[in-house]
Amino acid sequence: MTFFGLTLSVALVDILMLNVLLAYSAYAVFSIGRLNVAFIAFSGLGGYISAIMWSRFHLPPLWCICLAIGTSALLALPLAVLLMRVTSVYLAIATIAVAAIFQDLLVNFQSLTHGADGIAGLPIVAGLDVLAPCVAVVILGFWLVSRSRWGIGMILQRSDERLALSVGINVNLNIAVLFMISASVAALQGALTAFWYGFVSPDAYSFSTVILVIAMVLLGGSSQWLGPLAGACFLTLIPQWLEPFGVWSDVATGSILLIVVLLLPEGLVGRIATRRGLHRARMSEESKWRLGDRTVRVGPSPVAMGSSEQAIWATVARTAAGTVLDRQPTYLRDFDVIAEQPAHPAGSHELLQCDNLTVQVGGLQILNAVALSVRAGEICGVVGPNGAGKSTLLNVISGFTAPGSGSTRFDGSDISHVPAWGRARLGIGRSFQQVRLVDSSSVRLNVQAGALRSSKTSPSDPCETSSIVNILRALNIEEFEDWPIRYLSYGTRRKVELARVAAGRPKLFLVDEPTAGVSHAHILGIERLLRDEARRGCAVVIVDHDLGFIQRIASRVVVMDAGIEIYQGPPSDAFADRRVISAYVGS
Amino acid sequence: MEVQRTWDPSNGSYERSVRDFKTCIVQWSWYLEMVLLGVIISGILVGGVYALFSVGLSVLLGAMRVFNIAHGTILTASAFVAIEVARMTGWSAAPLLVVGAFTGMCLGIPLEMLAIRPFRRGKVFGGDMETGTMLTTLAFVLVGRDLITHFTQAQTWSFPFGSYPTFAVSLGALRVGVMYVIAFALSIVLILLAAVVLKFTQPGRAVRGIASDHRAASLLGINVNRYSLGTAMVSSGLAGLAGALLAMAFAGVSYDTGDNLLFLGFIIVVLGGIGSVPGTLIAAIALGIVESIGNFYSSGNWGEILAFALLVLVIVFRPQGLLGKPAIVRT
Repeated sequence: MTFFGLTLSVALVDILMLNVLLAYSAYAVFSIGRLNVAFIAFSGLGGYISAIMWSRFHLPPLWCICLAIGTSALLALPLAVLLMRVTSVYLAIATIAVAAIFQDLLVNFQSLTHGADGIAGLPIVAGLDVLAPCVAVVILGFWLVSRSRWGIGMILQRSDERLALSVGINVNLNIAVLFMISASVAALQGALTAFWYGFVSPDAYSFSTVILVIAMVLLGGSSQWLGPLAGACFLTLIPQWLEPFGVWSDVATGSILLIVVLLLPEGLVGRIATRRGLHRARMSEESKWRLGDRTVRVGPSPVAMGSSEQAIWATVARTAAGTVLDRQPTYLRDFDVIAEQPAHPAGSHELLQCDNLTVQVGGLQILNAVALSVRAGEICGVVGPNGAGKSTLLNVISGFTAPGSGSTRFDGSDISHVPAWGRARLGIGRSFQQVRLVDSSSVRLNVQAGALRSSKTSPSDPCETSSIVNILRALNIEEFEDWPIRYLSYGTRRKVELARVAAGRPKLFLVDEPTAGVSHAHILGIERLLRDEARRGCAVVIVDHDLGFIQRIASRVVVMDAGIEIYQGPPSDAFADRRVISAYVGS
Repeated sequence: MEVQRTWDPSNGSYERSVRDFKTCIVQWSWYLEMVLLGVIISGILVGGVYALFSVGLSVLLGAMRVFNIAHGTILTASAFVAIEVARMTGWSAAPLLVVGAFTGMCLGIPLEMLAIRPFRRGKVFGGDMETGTMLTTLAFVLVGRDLITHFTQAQTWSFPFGSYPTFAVSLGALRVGVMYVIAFALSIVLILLAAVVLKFTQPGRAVRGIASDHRAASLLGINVNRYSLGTAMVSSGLAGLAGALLAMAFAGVSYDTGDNLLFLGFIIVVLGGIGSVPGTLIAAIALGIVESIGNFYSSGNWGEILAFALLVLVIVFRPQGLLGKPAIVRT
């Protein structure tokens, strides 16, 4: 069969399928941002186990393949545990070393592997009829995973591990499982290759194969389930297509690779996905504008604000918006906040109880015997000069920093030894001092992420989608639902991050500097969201430097200085306290 | 490593004498003294050239976050160009070494322009500069290796006899090929020079500034692109010089010499601590000794396996390298 001047022989299609399998085994771990290339060793292991089982024990090929997959998956687990904390290019170097060790062992264990000669004489049973279903099953599997909540978790983990932890994703478990999946697919590929060629030899598992497979995945797009398929097709077929050019064909392949990488840094499929996302955002934006014309908000909504300043701002903003845009930007509705005191749930139970928390780095005492207890429905503000240990306190409560001593009780049970992802699943939601979002994904996905591990409904469930829209509407950012994060302003990003935490329906809401660098309107919107959360019965702990904001919203204030709690009580008295004054402005 | 050992003090009689050393204790002690010393010294000498090769790799990775796979290809290409020039002109060793270094520097220019510069704000693999540059330099490797294979017919090339000194010099009781000594001395001098430049001069400070934060460096008026180009050229030039030296010391170079060295180079970089010039030197010499002893005493690849296992353990337990200080991570 000829195809654009390329003769597609059965052998070429078979090789293409084997390459696709190897590309997916690499993609399995690449998809969480880890450059693990040990797949080549597991491919070799699969091939050799099959060959040895067949030639020594005369097991049927199917058994050999199953045994190869099982053994590889088991061996991948300790490797994953060993390399858990190794990232970036260092993981690539380490796993290349593992692959090289494996290749050397193959040569050294003469009696078992026949050394450099390899094992020949295997039955050639893996034809297109075997390969095609295997490839189909693997691709189907990766497609299903990419649509599942696990797939969304993987996107989060790839983009930012701390963010993934904060929404309750067990990052280490994901690494281990994906290492095992990668090893299984690689072993399947190795065993099929053995039964396709009829022999195995150590040369097949070389550095150049690794490089080729990495290029396939990155070229296709390491964040798209279709990427490895596209990349494998490209790098298998293009050299074939250029074959008539003789020695220059490889030069041409290299040049094409360079050009494609320079022009399409997100990969072949990644580029298409980005284009589609942008298009969708533009479409929805246009429809919102049209909708905005028809369902014009009726007049200026009643402004019941405590301060005249807010009213002035609102008027100014509305006038400006009315003249310039002919339409009121939604975030200006943030001015409609109704100032009221948070409902004090008197006598409600203590949700969080920290005792004697101490954190020390080197000789520096960052937290010194800090105690904090927060009741459900309460808004507690934590203030203090820079370096007082406020963010560290939040990190300790959310499990991101292990305290040197002290205990944390949450909702009646001791959580001192629960990891960050476990605390998130128990209902401790947090935002970060520097906004952490998946920049390339839409607002919707980012907000859904918050609900990944806290509710049982799937993310495509309409009921959950509507709850996400509700949260976005409460923050007046619903028009950005389809937008990729990287096109949003800083204030909107802040709101999206808070929306993510709110989507998880936390029992304890930890907020780190929500107002830093955010304009007045957005602050009011954030304030309303936090009040709503408290009214729902959620305990809110806010770290912030905006004392006016804290005084408005908090029912209780904790003032810290140099790791020590210097004041705890109602916000009105905080700045009459002598120690607080001296901490802020000196005595 | 497929490097050929031209100076090899072993022969059958020594090895046999080891195996039944119970009967000839006297011979054994002589063997230990002389042969082990020789093996170690040859390891040290080779390690010097490895260091020359790895130091550019280390500084590029440390300062520019460039994972340069093409480093080995540049070494090979420069060595071949130097050999071709030697065949055409009949020059002596010193100008040929300059030709090798110059070729490397010239190859560094397209490398930086095409493979590194577009990635300073790249988006490949989630904006990971190391991974992005790995892919583009890989394209260089593919193109370069195929061109080299094509032009050299995959043959091993050597400098014409007489274009470099081949006599042996005495180091105490040992006799060593003079090229080894020259290569080692030249490598040490250049590496120390690189360390001094990085540590004490204004351009060196600029490069270290870029390593710590390239945005902040450019805000302070450092032309990051220019320094990136300069670093890539110097790094490639050192690789080219190492290529010419290796071709003379090992009496030949083939199309895959550089690729084989590359992995060794990354082991050295990681062991020595990324970006650290003294660390690279120490790690390279240590690895040269280990490799020399491993090749000499063991059958099979156990020395290589040991080196790789050591690499994995260092990456897992001491990611800052054997000599480096642990980095403080702030969130």
